[in-house]
Amino acid sequence: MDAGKRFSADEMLLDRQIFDADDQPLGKVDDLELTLPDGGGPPVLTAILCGPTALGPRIGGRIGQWWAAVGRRLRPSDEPYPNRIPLDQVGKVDSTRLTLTVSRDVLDADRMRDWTRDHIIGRIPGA
Amino acid sequence: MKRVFALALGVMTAIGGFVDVGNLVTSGITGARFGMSLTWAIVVGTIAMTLYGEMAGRVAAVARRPVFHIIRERLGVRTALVNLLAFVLLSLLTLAAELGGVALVLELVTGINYLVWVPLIAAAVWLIVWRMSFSVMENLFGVLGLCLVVFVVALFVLPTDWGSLWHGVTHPWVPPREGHPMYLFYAVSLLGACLVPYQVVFFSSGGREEHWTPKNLTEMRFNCVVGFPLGGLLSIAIMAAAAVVLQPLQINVKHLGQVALPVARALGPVGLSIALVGFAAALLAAAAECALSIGYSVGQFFGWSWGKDRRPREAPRFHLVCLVAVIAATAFILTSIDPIAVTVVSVVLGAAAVPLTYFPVLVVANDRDYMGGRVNRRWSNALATVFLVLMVVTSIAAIPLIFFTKAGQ
Repeated sequence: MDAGKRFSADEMLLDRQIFDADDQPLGKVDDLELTLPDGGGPPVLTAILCGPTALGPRIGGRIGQWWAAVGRRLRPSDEPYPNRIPLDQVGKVDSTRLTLTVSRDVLDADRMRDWTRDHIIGRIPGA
Repeated sequence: MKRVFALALGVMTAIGGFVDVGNLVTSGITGARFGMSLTWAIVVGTIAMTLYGEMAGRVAAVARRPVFHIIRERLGVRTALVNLLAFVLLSLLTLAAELGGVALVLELVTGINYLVWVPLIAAAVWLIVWRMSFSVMENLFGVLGLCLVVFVVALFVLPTDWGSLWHGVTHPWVPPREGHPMYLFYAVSLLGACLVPYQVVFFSSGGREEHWTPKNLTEMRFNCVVGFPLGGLLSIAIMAAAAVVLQPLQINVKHLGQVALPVARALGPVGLSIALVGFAAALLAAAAECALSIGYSVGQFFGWSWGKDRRPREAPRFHLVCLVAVIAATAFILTSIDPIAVTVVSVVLGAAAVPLTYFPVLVVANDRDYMGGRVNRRWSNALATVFLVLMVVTSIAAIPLIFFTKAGQ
């Protein structure tokens, strides 16, 4: 990335594939978390959001609502706020991919995968 | 020697991968009804498939990502979603047609109604998806699918009037008993059969399953440039066999058995058996590829782990999608809807959706972020654009033609 060059989140971040430290796919950048700093000033990017609860609202409409609802069911205590990956766990970002500094297993960011594995696929012989 | 063998194997799998239920049915029907006058549609479809197949393969080898892995970030989440939904629905229809096709072949062999076979075949397809290694799947079925070469042999054994076949190829007029809409409908169906959207998703994702790198580019190109046209040639041979045997008898093809009739006429029961083995292998492989492609496309849209080279536990959602796809297609074909009608409608609807699948290939193959210096050359972009325009025209015409001709009745 050229330092000082301006770019938009859409050009550089949204919908990029996320890989973890072991080069395993984790998901896509489904949305971004922006925070207003305490002292005022422009919003700052604080985390990458991923999973159905982040993607649903971006798709919008019935399908989006439904997808977000699926995601909510899989969140602990129906927590509607999506999985966040804080920026300090994000390593390299370029225009084609985003690489994390941690393993996806540490993050607990993908309950849908775990649920599908534990409840359906893992029970089929030969999995 | 090993290298020659690998190249030959690649070509054979490309031929096997090209021919599926859509090609068998549309070639049989059109040969019997229109003689060789629609050959041009197969030629155009095959050239377009070769061109776009090469691009999709190149993206997989150079960007190390299949085309559909990249669509969402390049075209935006909503466009990609529309694309995905259209692709999945269409591929379910194709999958149902392939399952029904294998069942019809088994009905011919055993005399037991095809509906009995459908669940068993679906189970076999799912087992291929679940357990069989990617290369075994490709090579085994690719080679078995080559049994379809009996159609070429049959043409030489039959009293084929080559001059009149060639006359049909070079004089693409509408036969006197048929109307223009019907002729165009079947032209669209042949184009759709050559350009089935799942093929490009499968080819590109398969490149990742086999870990292609830029070193494999020559091999991949050879597979495309030799394998796909040979597959097209096989479709033309099936059409020609139908034109020689079925057209004079005015047989309207309603069953896969009738497509194999010219071979039985020329080569007797042995020839027929070989043709049926070829049918079953090509369709079974196509069914598995279709189911996998549905899993690939959904997994790649969401960025999940996907693919057969991972254990199912490591790509659980990918395998769940494949499983659900097989179940849904099975349920659909078990409604006793005519598999041949499903095939014809699926290839024509496929032709309507073709630009959705092929346009992103063109976009990504020109993306320097991913492709570096290996983006499309100017001439290939020019050619690809011509074909894309043709695909758009075809796609606009497809749905009105379905209604106007009552799906070719």
